[in-house]
Parts: sequence; C-alpha cells; structure tokens
Amino acid sequence: MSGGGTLLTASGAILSEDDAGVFAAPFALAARLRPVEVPAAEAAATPQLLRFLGDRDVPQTTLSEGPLAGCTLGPGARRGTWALRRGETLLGPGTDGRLAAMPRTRPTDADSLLLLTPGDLRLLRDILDNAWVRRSTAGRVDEARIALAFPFLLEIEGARHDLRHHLPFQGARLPHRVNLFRDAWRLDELCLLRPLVTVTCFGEAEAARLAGFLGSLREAGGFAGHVLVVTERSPEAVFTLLDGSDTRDILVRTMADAGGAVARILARYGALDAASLIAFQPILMLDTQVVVERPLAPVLEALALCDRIAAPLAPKVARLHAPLSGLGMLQRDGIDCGAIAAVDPAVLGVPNLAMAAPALALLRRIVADRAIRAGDAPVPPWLESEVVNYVAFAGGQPFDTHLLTGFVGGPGEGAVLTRHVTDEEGRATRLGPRRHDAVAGAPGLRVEEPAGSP
Amino acid sequence: MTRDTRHALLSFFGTLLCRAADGTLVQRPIAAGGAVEASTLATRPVAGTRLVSVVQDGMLLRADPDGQHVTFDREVASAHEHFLPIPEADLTQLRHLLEGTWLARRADAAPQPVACTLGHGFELLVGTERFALPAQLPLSGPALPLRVSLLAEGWSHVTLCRFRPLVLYTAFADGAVLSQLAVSLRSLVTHGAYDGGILILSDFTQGDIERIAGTLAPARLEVIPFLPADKVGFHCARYALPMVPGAAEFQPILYADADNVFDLPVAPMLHEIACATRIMAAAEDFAPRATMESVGARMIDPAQAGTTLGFNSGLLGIPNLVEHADTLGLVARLAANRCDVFGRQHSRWIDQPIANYVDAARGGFETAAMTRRVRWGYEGVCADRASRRGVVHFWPPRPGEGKDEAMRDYLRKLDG
Repeated sequence: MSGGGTLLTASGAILSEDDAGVFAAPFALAARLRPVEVPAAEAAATPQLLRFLGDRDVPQTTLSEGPLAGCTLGPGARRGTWALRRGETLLGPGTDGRLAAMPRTRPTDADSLLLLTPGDLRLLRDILDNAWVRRSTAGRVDEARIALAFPFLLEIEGARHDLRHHLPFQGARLPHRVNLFRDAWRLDELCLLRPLVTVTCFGEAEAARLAGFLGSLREAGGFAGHVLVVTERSPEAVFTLLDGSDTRDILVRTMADAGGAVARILARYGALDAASLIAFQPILMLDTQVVVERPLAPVLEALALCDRIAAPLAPKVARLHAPLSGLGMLQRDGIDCGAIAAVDPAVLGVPNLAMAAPALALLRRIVADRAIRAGDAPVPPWLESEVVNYVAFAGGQPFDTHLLTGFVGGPGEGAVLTRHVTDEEGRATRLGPRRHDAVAGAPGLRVEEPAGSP
Repeated sequence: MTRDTRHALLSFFGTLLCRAADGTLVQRPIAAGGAVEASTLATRPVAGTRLVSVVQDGMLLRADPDGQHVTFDREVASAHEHFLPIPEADLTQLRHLLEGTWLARRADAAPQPVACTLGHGFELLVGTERFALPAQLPLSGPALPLRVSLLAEGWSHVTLCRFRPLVLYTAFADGAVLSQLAVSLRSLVTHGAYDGGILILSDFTQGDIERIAGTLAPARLEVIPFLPADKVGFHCARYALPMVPGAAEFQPILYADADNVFDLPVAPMLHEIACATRIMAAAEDFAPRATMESVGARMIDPAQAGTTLGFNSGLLGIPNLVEHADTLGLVARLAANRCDVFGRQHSRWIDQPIANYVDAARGGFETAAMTRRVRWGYEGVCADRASRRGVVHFWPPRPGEGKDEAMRDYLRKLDG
C-alpha cells in the first residue's frame, strides 16, 4: 500500500509491524521500521472541517488489509482519536509495546490512536528533527527541546500543544512554517531555521575575496550551515580557491554563461531556482564585499520570522539624486516614494523561496528585458540596484527595510555585517546603514565591476 | 529556448504555427490546438530579441497576413518572418488571458475591466494599453492563473487580476432566513445589477431556493447541499468554501449573510475586491475590539486591540482562494478547537470573534474599503440615492419578524 495513514499512540509511538506482529515503535525509529499502513480511504475519512460543521465524530471503519485486517477503527477516548478493536476486544500497546487485548471495553487515552496522513507524518518528523524559531518568543528552539509526550502532546520547550488540535496540519506555508495552537486556540508559529547563505563570486577580484568572506562567515559569524557559491567557475576551481579552508557544506552553482554584468545579476537570482534550495529557510544573499564580523544567528532568526524580502537601507544613496535608487522608474509609475532612502542589494534576506518567488521572478524579467533593449550597448553599473529598488517598492509586496538595516554597517561600526565598497576613486568607503544620516545629494555609489568583465 | 521545455511558435500576426493534416505548416488561431513543437524545426535567433526565424533549405518561413498560410520564400528576415517561441505553460496562461475579463491593478488608478487581445508584432493589448509580449515571458504573478504580472515598456509593473466573480450565501433551517435570502437575492440582481454566478450552501433544496429566487435564472444559481448539525455549523459553513469544487477558479468571491440588501450596482465593489491583497470586511463603528466580545475582546490582548474597531464577518470580500483559503481555514480550525475545549455553546458570536482574533494575530483582513460601502440596518436607513453606499447589512438582529420586515420595507423603498 502507498499513501496510507499511520497510527500514532498517545505516547508518541508509531504502530509498526515485524515478523512477530504489531508493536508500538518509538517515533524516532519508525522510519527505519515498517509502520502499519491504514489504507488511504480510511486515512482520508471525513475531513476534519466537515466533521466539525456537522459535529460528527469519527465513523467506525473496518480495515481490510495488512496486519490489522479484520480490525475496526472507531471513536477513541477523546474527540478526534481512534480506538482499535478486533471483534469486541479493545486493542492497545501492552507493557512490552506489543499490540495486545486490553482488559476494558471503553478506551482510555493509553488505548487511543491518532491517524496521521503521510504529509502529517513527514511534517511531524521535520518538526522533531530540525531547529525552529518560535514566533511568540522570537527565540531559537533546538530539536532537543521538541518532543512528543503523553497524551498526544507536542512539547516545545515545555509548552504543551495537543496534537488533536493540529491534525491534519494545514497552512499555505507548510513545511517551512507551522501553526501552533496553544491552549487549543492561541496562535503561535514555528518557523524553520535551516539557513542558507549565498554569495556571488565572479571575476578575479571577487575570487580573491572569497576565502576571506567564508572565513569571516564561519569564524566571526559562527555560521555552520550551507553556503551556496554562485560563480562562473567549476566546483573544483572554487575548492582550489578555498584550499586550506573548511569547505564542508559548500555548494557551488556554476553559471557557465555568466560572462557579462547582466548575466551575473541574473545568475545571482537565477541560482535560487534550484529545486533543492526550496528546503532552506531563510536565505541570506551576500556578496564578497561583505565581511561577517559578529555572530550571524540573530540575523537569520529574525529573517526566519519575516514575511517579506528584507534589504537594508542605503542612506548615502539619496533617492532624489541617485539613479541606482530606482527613483525614475518609481516616479514614472506614479509611486510616491517620500523621503525614504534606497535599499542596498548587496545584502538581501529571503525568508523563504516560495514567498519570494514572484518578486524574484519580476526582478529577473525586468533586468533581462533591459539587457535585451540595450543590445550591444553597456548597461549602467547600477542596473541591479535600480531594479531591486523598483521591485522593493513597486513589486506588489514592499520589501522589509527595517530588519536588516540594524545589522549592516560600515568598517569599524561594530555591525554584524560590514559592507565594503569602493568610491568613485576606487577607495574603500562605507555604505552606512543608519537612516538618520541620509544626505540628499550625496555622491552616488559606484558598484564595483568584477575584474575581467567586458 | 531550454531543451527540456516544449515551445510553440507564435507568428507576427498572433497566430500559432501548426501542422495541417497533410503535414504542411499553417497558421491557426491561438485558441486552437496542434501547435508545432519548436524543437522539431530548424530555427535561427533574431539578434537582440527573443524571436527566431524558421529556416528550411536556406529559405525563411514567412507568415501570410491572411492569418492562415505560411511559406518558405524569403531570404532576408523582416517582421513577417519572425516567430516568438512560447513555452507550453505560458501558452496556456496566455489563452487564459485572452478568454476572460481582467482588471489592471496599478498604483495610480482604480481598476477597470478590460479584455486582452493579441495584436500584430507580438503585442499583448490590455484594453488599449500595449505590452510587448516577449518581455512578459515567462508569465509570472503572485497567484497564477488568477493574477499575472505584466511589464509595460519592459519594466513598469502592472498586475492583471482575473474578474470572474462569485457571490456566496449560506442559508439553513430557518424560514426567516429563507425569506431574508429572497430579499437579498432580489436586491443583488436588480439594484446590485449583478449578473454573475451565485452559490448557496444550504440544507434547503435547489427547488426551495429557486422558488424564492423569483426571476433569477436557475442556471446562475447553484445550491450545494450542506447539513450542519447546529448553529455553530451554520455560522462556520462559509469557511468550508475552499472545499467547494471549482471555487478556487473564481476571483473575487463575495460572501454575504442573507440579511444584506444591495442598493447600488455591485461591480465597483467586486472590482475592488478582485484586486485587493487581503480579505475585505466592514468595520463596526459600534464595536471596539478591546471591549466587545462579538469582535474578539475575550481573545485579543486589550493592549494590542487598542482603539481598533472590530469587523463584521457577515459580508466578506475574498479576493481569491489561492491566497486566502489559508486564512479561512485558520478561522475554521480555531472555531473547531475552541468548541472542542469549551463546548459548542461557548460563544454566542461563534466565528466573528475568531476572525477578528486571526486578523489581530496574523493580519489578512482589511476594513477601509468595505466600510465605505456598508451601512448598518439597526436604525432607520434612508433609501434615497445620495444616501446609498452599496449594501445595508440588517444587523444586529431584531426580535421576531422585525428584521425581515425591515429588509422588505427597505427593498420596497428602493423599488419605489
């Protein structure tokens, strides 16, 4: 059978089978054993909402296949739970965990079961096996602080959540964000913390900075997660560059045709299209002009809770005077930008890819179209910044400009992420994050072109 | 063109390159099937564009302006020899764009219904506004296939929202509800000038509803049998909408309690809902969230509620289910969980405090636009045209037949 439901006991074990029969296996081991599958028809018994509207309890169902063939599933001790019977005999996990006849006719919690759909089972495993950020506390919850408990409880840092009130898991943002109902109704949320940092590395100058960037990310940033290097180089060439560095969890996305400035912009955002990246949340997009100087965890935890793409304000880029701020595009669209500064695309926070996909697709389409229109003429060096700013404020869902701003600073400012850029004379200068020192009419930034670009 | 995606070829004249039964290449309208897979032909890119030319024996394929014939008879490519490779998924979405009515959502203008057509030269015409089709590919948007992002002049962002409205009612068990539904339906199609589909979740039969629906064409009215056990089930039935087959194809969906009377054409309101990003509801000017149990005072932290007014859940403008089924499902889930813990009689107001709580905790609703269109029928409502806003919600309930009579009386004034 495939796609069948799985039965969870009140203490969080999964009914599994071996040659000796059916037994309650610890949840963590169930994946390696053979869970008893209840055919899909039973698993999909009356949807929970329809049961609620009609105030109907679970119907009795006779199982026709598998080791429980001939048994019936009927109402358990509590609403939403099931009890297993063979004939009139109530079955439940015995003291040795084996399924056995119970010395009573009315089920208790100990004899009751929850029916998990395949999706519920997967998500429950994800919840127990990953680190999360809990919205109510805005704090990280390690997997060690999440457990199943009797009866039918999901314990998160000691707070108890009745699984009956959560199943089937529902939500448009699953599996990255899971609704929690404390006391059955108080809304809370678990946001997955499986971060990815991406860094673009094109040309010799950026290649020369890559090892330093990664060193700062691992050491000062304390970041132990995956890093995606978006580059024109092969993975071998990247690992050669990083010779002597810790290359664990380094992913390389080679964008072979990233030969010009536009192609590199498209590569930076196009690299996120890989299906495997959908598993990550959040994603922090950096470039090698950024140095990580302090622990990155607060940035990633805040980003995991965010509902929009986040970008820091770039206060020295006065919107009124700098083309890289996208002002021209916004004004021609009739959008009033007020006095707000522009955002700096060197640091972008993507809470999760599904949420950000429309904005990222729009951004790439505009850049690609501008390139086609430009033909052989060079595109302005501020193209990425201009388009990111346009999408940030006109793309349907405005970017969050608050979250990252406090984490990004110039050299010596003690921020988590230090941004180095070059001014018009090529000197290193600061791209300050402070909104209060925005200066109208300040010189525009020069976006450093990678060496060797046409 | 990527190798792993099937592409059709669109001609300069907005037709598809197809193969006739005898194997010859022809043009056909875009709605037709049988498009030639681009990779089966020899093509040559047109420099600086996303277009290609089709080549055979050194000659280029020319599309005839008659919209039917094509011939390999040109040595130099100009407009008629250009074709746009269009991925299969985009072709489906493009057909979808050309079939229905759409609303253009821009930052600087109220939405107006427009039809989309294909012009010559790979132009997509949205009403009279022209968009370069190549720049729109791949078609994307926040809620495909109902919302599509277009770029004017290659960059200016416009969202097209499909306009295919549905009005949803729920009506159960009670003769008074049936009588109110009769008034509401009649006001909707006469004074509301509504000519779209109507869906009713009810334990009454299709025949019962048709009898009270008067002149409303039965084809526009669908009754879905629904059998709630009690008042909780009646009130929460609206949140079962995401489970109704086909409901996700509509945009917008207006849910109305049977005690709403429409007194102005509903089209502007429906346009606004179709382009909204959150569920629209009318704020009750008499119901602060901090103090009124009916709008969540027992659930919402008073400090968080502040001076915010609660909204009424008896008239909900739901832009679409692609984006908002989640919010509706959350209200239903909390209602079920609270009933499990506190019993099914624990709240007189049932779903409305919960919807307000969900909004306070997560957002998802907006009140400004709908509030402007709704008056409350708890006191005498003036029916003269200048006073009308669009809807009168006869709330709160009156004892006995009071509400039915007040609704009928108001409708008489509108008719008069």
